[in-house]
Amino acid sequence: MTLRNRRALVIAGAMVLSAAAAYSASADVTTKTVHMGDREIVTEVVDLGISGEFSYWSCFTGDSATWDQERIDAFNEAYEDLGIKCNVQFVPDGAGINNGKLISAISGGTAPDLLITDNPTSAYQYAAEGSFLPLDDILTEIDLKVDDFFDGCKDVMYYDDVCYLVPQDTNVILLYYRPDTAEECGLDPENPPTNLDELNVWADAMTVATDSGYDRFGIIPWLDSGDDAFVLPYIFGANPYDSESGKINLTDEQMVKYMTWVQDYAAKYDPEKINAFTSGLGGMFSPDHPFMTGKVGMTITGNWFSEALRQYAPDVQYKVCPVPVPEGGRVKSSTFGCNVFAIPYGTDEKQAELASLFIRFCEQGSVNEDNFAQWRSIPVIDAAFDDVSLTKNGDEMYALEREIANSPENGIPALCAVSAELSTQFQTVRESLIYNTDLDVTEELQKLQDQMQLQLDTK
Amino acid sequence: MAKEKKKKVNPYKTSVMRRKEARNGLLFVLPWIIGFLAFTLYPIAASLYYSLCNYTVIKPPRFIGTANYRALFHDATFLASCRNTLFMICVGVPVTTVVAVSVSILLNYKKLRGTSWMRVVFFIPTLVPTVVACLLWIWVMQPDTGIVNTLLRYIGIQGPGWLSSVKWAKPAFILMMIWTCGNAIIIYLAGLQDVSETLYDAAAIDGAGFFKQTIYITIPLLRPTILYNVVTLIIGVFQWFTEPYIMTEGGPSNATMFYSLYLYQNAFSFFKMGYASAQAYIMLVVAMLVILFLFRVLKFGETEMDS
Repeated sequence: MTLRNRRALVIAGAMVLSAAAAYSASADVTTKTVHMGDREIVTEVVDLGISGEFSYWSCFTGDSATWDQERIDAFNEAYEDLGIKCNVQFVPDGAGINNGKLISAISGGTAPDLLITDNPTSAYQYAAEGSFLPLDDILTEIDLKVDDFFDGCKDVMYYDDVCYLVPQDTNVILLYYRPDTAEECGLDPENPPTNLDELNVWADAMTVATDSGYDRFGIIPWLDSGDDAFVLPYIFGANPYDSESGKINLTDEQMVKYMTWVQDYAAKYDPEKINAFTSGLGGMFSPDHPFMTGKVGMTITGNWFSEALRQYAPDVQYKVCPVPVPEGGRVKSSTFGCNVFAIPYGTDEKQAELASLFIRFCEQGSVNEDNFAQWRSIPVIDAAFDDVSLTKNGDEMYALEREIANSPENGIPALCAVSAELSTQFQTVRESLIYNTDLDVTEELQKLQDQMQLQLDTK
Repeated sequence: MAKEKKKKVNPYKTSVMRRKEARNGLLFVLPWIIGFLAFTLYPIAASLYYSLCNYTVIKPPRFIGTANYRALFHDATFLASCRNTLFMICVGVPVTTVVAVSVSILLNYKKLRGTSWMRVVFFIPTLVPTVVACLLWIWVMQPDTGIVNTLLRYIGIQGPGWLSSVKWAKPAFILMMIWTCGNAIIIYLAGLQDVSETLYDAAAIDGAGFFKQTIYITIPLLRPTILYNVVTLIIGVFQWFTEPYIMTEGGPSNATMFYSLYLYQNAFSFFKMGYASAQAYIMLVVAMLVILFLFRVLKFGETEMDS
């Protein structure tokens, strides 16, 4: 027997033993009906033979925080008989990930047992720094199958082939456009742009110039999700980071195409005049948002914007379509914007097990139904779409979201040990190119690539 | 005789009571000393060490010598933050000081009526919490509907994008700085109370008007107060964080990336605690040099009589 064969035998044996161990330790699962908000849901309850309380930091605010509180109340009701309780603390700014609160808590030994954050990119950097516990064994113990998760979601789950983050749900990016504006400009709202050239034609047609500036823009490339670092570059076909070679790549053809498009747009319309439309407090969840006020005819953003429109501009007519891409781009695809669970480093084994029960609880379709129905978020598994009321009701937009979610090209870009800094510095370079239209795109991107590669190599 | 007198020892100094008092005194200040050692001196010393390390908080620090310091001077964002902070010190601080001193002198002018409520008006903005003031100023500077551009439009000027303009973002912050200089005005007013009326009377007899009195009497005698306010303002600029963090996050195109904001980003967003510590030490040295320079230029500790 060769050494290779012997090694294969040992590995196979170990796998059989682990499977047997997993089977023997498999959880005792029952179902229970509990209250979530003003409705009743049927949920699975897993008995691991332990009881106790665990702490949980939630990144959610506003309506989402209300929903999360309902979810926690439902969990506590479901696990009351087993003596398990979740104690929540709402910690803004990504559960303390964006403002240093989490890192201080982890280093000071006061971190929660579980957290959920809406910033998967920074969470990934935390994982790379060793700030979170590996979850593979725990996921096996609670019998949470992650193999069926969308491949794009798996990008964020694994660092060095070890699972640290579990997505609760995900989002897709779409082009929102106003059919009334399109018609007014002689465009056919039933045939939205499908590629970058058509998008530029639509943008030009919708733009209304005045003596002192502009009354309306067709699109602002860096508005909403366009302001995120790598959402549009990724959809345009760029691969900012190659995890296999460990190389940052900001200078490939698609990235240059993207940045040139942005810079050309700035040169054409004057960035200060464009940004006068978007400054102020008119964020996405405000009636001052330029799409709602009619100052822009199109915007690229996530499924959640439909809820903002419903709340703050119910009379505004809108339609959605996949983000138009240039040649070589990822057609009918999206980046995945996930909310992810993580268990901070330092959490003891029992607390981690208790926390994992909450993760499992939250992955159930019955628990996520309100989330999906209200925010049009999508499940991380295709089959779970069938149970969502929007699918059952034949909702057109949700069907499109499902179609986009199933694109094999979806993913979460630029996940590496310097994710957060890479994103911030990329945004700064983009701003610099927007405001200095004489700067050379490739040269600036090359400088940043070299700088960030050096950072990565010294990690 | 004189020698014998000198050798005489005060019995109180060696008494039991004196030792008891010293011990009690030490016990009373001990909590502060412990706090100082644990929460001030230790972090200062530790951050000096970390500034020489690759340190990400979660993993143990790895000594890398002066690499962080050398890297900083090749970091475009760091250099931009230095330029922006320098701009605020060289332009923002003098403009704010001139406005605050001028307003204080006017408010102290006896012949002017209604100065009491005007003092209150100037002080009120300092009572507004910083975060609230920031949100308010985002509205004030709003290009389309903000009050500043609305007023400018009345006189036929198309106002800039302020916070979204690379050129005008820093001046917008200076305007905000002026708006919140009520504390400095109160201190200047207190300083003005110390200027003797007889000097003005004598100057008036010699034919000096309001402006000459201001130039030759008020400003020179207000010099220590000006020095104090300028020094605290400069330190404030070095530590400036909340306003750019909330209002612009350092943008557009790093136009408002100030020193402390970039330091914070490195420490808490990018996990580069060693790099941020190096930045902090550079700030400490530069701030000390600037302040020593000001002490020398404005002749700290010397009165008008000395000079």
